[in-house]
Amino acid sequence: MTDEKPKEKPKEKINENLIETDEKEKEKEKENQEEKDKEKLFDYDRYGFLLDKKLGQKRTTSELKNVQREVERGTKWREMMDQWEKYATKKSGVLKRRIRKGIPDSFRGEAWMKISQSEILRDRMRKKEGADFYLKLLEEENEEANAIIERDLNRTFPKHENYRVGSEQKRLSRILRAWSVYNKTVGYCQGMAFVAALLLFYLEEEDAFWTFVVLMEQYHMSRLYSIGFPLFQQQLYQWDKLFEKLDKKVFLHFQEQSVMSQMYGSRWFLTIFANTFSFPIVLRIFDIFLHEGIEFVFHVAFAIIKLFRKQMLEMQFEQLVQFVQNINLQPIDEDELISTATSISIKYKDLARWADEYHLQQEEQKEK
Amino acid sequence: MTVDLQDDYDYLFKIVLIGDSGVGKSNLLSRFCRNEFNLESKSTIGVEFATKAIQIDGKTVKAQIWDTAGQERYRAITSAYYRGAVGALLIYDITKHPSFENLERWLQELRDNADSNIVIMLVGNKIDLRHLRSVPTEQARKFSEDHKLLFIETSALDSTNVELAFQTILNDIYKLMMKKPDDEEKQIKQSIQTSGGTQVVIQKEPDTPIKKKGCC
Repeated sequence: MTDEKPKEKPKEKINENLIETDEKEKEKEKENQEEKDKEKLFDYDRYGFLLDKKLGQKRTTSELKNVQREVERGTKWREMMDQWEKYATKKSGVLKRRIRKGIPDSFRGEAWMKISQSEILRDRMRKKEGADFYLKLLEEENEEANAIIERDLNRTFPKHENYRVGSEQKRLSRILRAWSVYNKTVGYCQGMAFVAALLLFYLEEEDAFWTFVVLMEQYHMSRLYSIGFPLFQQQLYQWDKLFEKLDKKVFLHFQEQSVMSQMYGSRWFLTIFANTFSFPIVLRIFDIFLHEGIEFVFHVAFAIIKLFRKQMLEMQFEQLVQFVQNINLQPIDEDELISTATSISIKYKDLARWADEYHLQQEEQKEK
Repeated sequence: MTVDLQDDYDYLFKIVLIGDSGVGKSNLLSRFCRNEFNLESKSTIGVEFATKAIQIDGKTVKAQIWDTAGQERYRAITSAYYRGAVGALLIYDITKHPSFENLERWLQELRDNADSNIVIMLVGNKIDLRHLRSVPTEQARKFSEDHKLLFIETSALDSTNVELAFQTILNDIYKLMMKKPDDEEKQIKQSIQTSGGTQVVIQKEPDTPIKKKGCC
């Protein structure tokens, strides 16, 4: 017996060890699983965009910092929302500064509505045409537009969960169809879907529709998209002049390499960069665009030149075209881009003069 | 982004991809240039650009390819890119008959804006979706013969015939250029230069570095 005991003991010990290792392994497995689950969760960024692991995309600490920052700003924004009139008039400087810092995500929808004043248009149209005006628009069809809208639905923010699986595609489709009936002359133009989808991330469907209408009509975006792209063509002219004025060396390099603004301008200007940058940057640009107007695209465009001028000066035609067309592939810090863009001084008098010049030229050509 | 040594070619051909929205132009381009297919691709707004070099007769032929937005009103922007192009891939979707019916209008667009000697290849894309086919191969072949176009059916998704399509059109352009007597070639070059402002078909002369230019 005495002999057996020592034998047994080690046995037990072994068993205990076995149990221990077993449990440890189980725990490890559990941890691994949790780790995997976590990784799975992190397949999307905070806005719901699929992260591309091939490109090494992952949730970043700066993203978490931004969330922190927004929470801290919440109180100020609540107060500002509640006293909007005051901030829109007497304290407009404060409002401008805060919007430039980025509207906290939880306030974005509310703020976009207030800035664009789309409620005013919505209420006026409801009064004039009936409370179900939006629904009535949906009963009509613009067949020509519908075919193209359908083809764009899963090609608008395709990396976002909502548009990947299609739950939002129906709402996006309805807004665009309603618009193409509301304004048959302008109708649907590719590029619009990005703008409408952006609104849908933060607004209820009908609110998103009326805000979209405000953008088209009061922010002049319909002239970006109407037949012949009149505003876009004018912007390209203005951009060339501005580019030359602000950085002649890089401008001449582009000219020498035959890289024309229309080669990258459509991607930049036709969607207010929504088709160009990563989502956090798109939002920051859109916040400021809503408050300061469509001229802000020139600030962003020149910020790109300013941030990458050294690389650009070394590139030849092919590389340069691909670089400016795919500027989203460059690592860009959103704060740096926005602070660069807002610090660029552009005289709006210049922009107006160039616009006049462009229209004069157009008229002269017509006469010829 | 592909970082090519830009001087590393003997010939440079400019090609445009045209056809209705959603027929798969961008994915044909990415399949050929980067061997990629993207199920989550975005609509093309305006124009996009990529390049790829292939070998013909021991020479390096580089294709500069412009991919264009398909919606009709975008032709106001995209037709500028037809100028100076020596080849065009006219693409339709074999599962969408309207994209085939619109081919006549696309051809007219080319006649109005491109050089008259442009080589055109008709491409029926998405043959992986055979169960949804609505344009019979024979119908398309007949159309291509009537209009003197090259013809091929492809799938950007499973790669079928993509390489072959681009190789065939580049080969054709190459042969056509070789056949031409010098003065005629010069004439063509000149017409390209005056109309587009930039030289597109470039044959390198020994010891004369050629400045590469894009064009539009």
